[in-house]
Amino acid sequence: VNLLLVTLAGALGCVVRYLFEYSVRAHHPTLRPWATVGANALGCGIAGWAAYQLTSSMEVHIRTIVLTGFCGGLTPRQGTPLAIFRGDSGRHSPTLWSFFCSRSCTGALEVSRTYPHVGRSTKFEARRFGG
Amino acid sequence: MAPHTTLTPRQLLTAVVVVAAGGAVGTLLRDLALRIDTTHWFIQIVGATGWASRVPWVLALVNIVGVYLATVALRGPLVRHDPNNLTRLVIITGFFGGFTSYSSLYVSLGTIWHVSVLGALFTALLAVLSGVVAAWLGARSWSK
Repeated sequence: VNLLLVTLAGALGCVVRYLFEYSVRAHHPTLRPWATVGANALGCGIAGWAAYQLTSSMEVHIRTIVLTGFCGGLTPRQGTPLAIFRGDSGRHSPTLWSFFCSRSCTGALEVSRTYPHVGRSTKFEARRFGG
Repeated sequence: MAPHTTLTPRQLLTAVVVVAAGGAVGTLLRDLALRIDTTHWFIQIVGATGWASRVPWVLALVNIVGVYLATVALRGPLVRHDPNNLTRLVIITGFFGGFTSYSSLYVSLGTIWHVSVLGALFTALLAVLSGVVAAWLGARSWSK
């Protein structure tokens, strides 16, 4: 059941990301992955919140569903590296490299902001995080 | 179809279903990969203590493979497909979007930071570089 719920949450995360990307592209036509950057920042924020807040044994399944499922689907790893090397514009744009760096910084900041007591909870098990 | 083309409600619904299907399969595969008990192997390689034991190595590997394969697909069979193409939606946006994950890598950085700040910075740098190198290798595979 847990596996099924994680799968469904992952599908939901992917759909939310796609609709976000679609709406951004509809208003601001671009091939650059700004919307993916935004979705990643949002997903990292939710993941940071879930990792810190959902630590009791009752909530461990919910945490897995939120982290592994929803946040995993919401935050693709491949978005920006692909944009760098896909060559949509026929060349490797330096702007896209700055996307990559800014996205990494955004993710780290989002997590650190929502996750202030990191590592201090004895219930926290990094290896169990999959989202 | 241009990337900013507005889809009809029916087309959008189809796209959502396709993305959900691809995302479900990708998430399922990632979750199954993360359930493999690799603790014994990693303890032998990186030790049981220290920041390296807290790095999500399986997820890192999943991400590298996902980035490489997605780049290969986008530079090869899907090179002329726009972002609203159903094949591209199911493979790239759905499957590889669900298969690779960005957030948990950064959540794990939190625990590594508590053990070793340098270890966390090194892991972050390695995560960024591994993605770029995987994408570069994927792009190179079609440029020859």
